[in-house]
Amino acid sequence: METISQFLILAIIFCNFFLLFSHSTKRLVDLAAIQGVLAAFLPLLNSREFFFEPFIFALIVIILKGFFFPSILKKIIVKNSAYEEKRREYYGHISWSMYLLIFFVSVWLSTRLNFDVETSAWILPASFMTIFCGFLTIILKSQTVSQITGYIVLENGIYCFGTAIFIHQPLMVEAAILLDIFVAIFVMGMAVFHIGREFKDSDSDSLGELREVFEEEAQK
Amino acid sequence: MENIKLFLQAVIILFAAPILPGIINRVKAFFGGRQGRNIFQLYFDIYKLFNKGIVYSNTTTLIFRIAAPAMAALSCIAALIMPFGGQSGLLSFSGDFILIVYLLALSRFLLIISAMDTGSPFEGMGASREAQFAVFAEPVFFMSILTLSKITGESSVHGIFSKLSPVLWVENAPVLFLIVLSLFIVMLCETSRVPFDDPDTHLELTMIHEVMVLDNSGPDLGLIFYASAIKLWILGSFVSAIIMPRHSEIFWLDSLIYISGLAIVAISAGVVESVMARVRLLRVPQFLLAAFSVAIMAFVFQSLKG
Repeated sequence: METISQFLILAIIFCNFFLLFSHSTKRLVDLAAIQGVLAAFLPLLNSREFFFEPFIFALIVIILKGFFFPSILKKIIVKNSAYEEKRREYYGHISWSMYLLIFFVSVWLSTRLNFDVETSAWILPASFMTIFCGFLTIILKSQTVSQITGYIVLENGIYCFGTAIFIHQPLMVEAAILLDIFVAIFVMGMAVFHIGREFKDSDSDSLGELREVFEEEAQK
Repeated sequence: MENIKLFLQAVIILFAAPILPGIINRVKAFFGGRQGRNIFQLYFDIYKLFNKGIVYSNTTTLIFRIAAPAMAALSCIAALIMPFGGQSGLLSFSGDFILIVYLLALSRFLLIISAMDTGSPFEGMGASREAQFAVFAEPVFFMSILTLSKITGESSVHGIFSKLSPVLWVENAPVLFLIVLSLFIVMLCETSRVPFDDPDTHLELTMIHEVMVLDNSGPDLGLIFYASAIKLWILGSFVSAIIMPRHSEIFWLDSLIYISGLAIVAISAGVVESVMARVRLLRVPQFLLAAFSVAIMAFVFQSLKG
């Protein structure tokens, strides 16, 4: 079972890797969904006995992160025609440096924290990497849909971190976190949908330019 | 008997190496719906080139004349270090993988300076690209072998290969998978295959390896082709040894498994060439950095395991 867990963790890390380098918003959404589903399997693999509650909870996570969130985000992508991220020449190099940096920082952090990890020792660096990659996705990507994806990735990292420390988290805590991101994605999705309908664009760079126009008009 | 086996394995390596590019070409032809070239085509090409005369440009010096034979000789020496069918190589010693890397690096250096010796800006451009990509590829190779050495606790290629076993795969499957991935990428880059370079392109501004041998002709070109095939054999051997660990203690059976492993690696390279497009030149360093990250990950995760 540990080998399968390690392969799952590797797959989660590879999802982070492709997330940083992908320019297609649809692919970003798919990667975040795959990562969420993979993370949902981790607690099931690590528990030595069969428990009904974690199984049901994993199923809810898979439905939400694997199907519900991607369907909402893909609808927003189609409605706003936000299929592609802006391609910047320096982007690849920044992503590379950041990726290697967050890898080393994650490993360093996981060795510094003396947690009694219930699962594979790889899960801690993988969870830190996922959290940092979520942050980076929010910072580096310009499309608002990609930024919401970054938020989901961030949550995936937190979920992995929880898995590393407790196999059986209190159900109420997990349900509260899930409800939280459910509402957040819902609200952000609606906001982006309305922004796209109003301004025919959901690129955050364009929104920045829009603000400057308003400021100039206000100054006049 | 042991000496005969050592001699025999050296002969097999030196004679069988040109079959690997043949397998790759055949797989590519299969994917393209063609019959393709003969699997032994490189042997015929080398034979044909050896029967031709050499033309040297007036601008070239002694460097250009000695580069091709020296490259072939260095590649052959590196090949003799490689273990074969569970037996140690002719020149096996502790830390021999470092010598393999530097022999191949010296061979590349000779190719680069011979390309620059022609005075052609076109070849100089290819030489510059070759040097740049090597800078990224070598650390990946070192890091992968270092991790393998850490897993097996051995410091020679033969020691590492002999400790690789199905049991080791059960214990370290994810790390070994990462090492195979990074070594396979290095093999494709170092042997100038797609997605890094296309060995079939000629007179294109994007080519790397082929542009450096434009001025070579006759036996010199044949030797370069041969050295390239040997290099593919050496780098493919590392991947083959990991994916097909063999310990039957029967020389012939182990040799057969070893050669089948190499054939699988060649088929995989052919499949990659068929299904992937060449990456843009500017993206090649990023691709190699990806391989480096994978190799680093393997090393760190192995260290975390203790």
